[in-house]
Amino acid sequence: MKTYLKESIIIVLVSILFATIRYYFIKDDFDIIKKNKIADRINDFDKMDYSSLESFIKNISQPTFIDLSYATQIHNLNLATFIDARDVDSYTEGHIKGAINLPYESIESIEKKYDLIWMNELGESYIYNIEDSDVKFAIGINNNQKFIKNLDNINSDLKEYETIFVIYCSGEGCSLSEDLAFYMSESLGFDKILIYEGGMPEWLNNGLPVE
Amino acid sequence: MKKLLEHSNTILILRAVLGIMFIYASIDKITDPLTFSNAIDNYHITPIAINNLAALLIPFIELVVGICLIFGIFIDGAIFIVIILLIWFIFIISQALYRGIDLHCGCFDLSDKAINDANIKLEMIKRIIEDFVFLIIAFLIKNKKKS
Repeated sequence: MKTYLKESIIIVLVSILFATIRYYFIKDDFDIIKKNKIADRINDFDKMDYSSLESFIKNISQPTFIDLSYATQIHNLNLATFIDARDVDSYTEGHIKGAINLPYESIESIEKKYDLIWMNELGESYIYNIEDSDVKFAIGINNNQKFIKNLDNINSDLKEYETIFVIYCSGEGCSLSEDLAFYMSESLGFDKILIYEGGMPEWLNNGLPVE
Repeated sequence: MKKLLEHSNTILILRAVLGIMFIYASIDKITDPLTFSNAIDNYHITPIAINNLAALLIPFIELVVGICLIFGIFIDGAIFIVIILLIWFIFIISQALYRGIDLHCGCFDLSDKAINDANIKLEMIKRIIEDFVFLIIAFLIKNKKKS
């Protein structure tokens, strides 16, 4: 092999060695495969009681990824509304207990039909009952708070958890939850959005409540 | 004879200049790979997924190559890598300039109008020229080494 090639390979190998050593000093904060900057990742297991979770949620300003332990606790404590971003059939087969179905694939047509972007931009209080081929939920604004409610609850007072959302789909490799999270955040102006990456498969694997 | 000596001294100086430049450039990136990784994102030319890996590895390549140049070891390989790196850097800055990307924020909003934009563009052109100069130096070292 030509000298310059041999030498280049040695230089690169030595660099890889140094880089590997360097990696071990920073690996807690450094993903080898970089995730999109768009959503933050939270992975610390320290603060899981009600008030810490509550303040964690209050402090998020953009769609944030959460893991199983956060999702479980939030579900237990009923701190958020879970949203299933998958299609109606998948939702019907089984979904996280209490979750509302909002298929990402349908959101744009629903938005067009009800002019939701405009309504949310306007900011005035409103409530729409959306019933669109098996997709059923209520959406609106109440006292400047944007909410999504289960249709069963339309007559009750607005609860905190109806303004905070955990969106999921079919786990790793499924981008519906992230896409929906974004859409809700950027186009519809929702600000308390969590993305549960593990999705349905992880939830089921851990024997957590479904219906 | 004098000319030969002169030449070999010039080569030493050129190698030292190039070597020191690469080592100096690598230090901030080695101490703070995350910031460097975010800077790479701003070029919008590589998939975000690999930018952490690149930010981790490239500075060390620069460091090792700089050391090689200064101490005169593995010069053939080092110069080969230097040339590839510089061509790559020239390419990515040029494409950012062409696409109107402001490298400070990674946003696509460099218009031909505002004075601010002219400064940013000038900065990018300056970097391209610098890299071309280093590229010429690298080729000088490469060719002199042959003789």
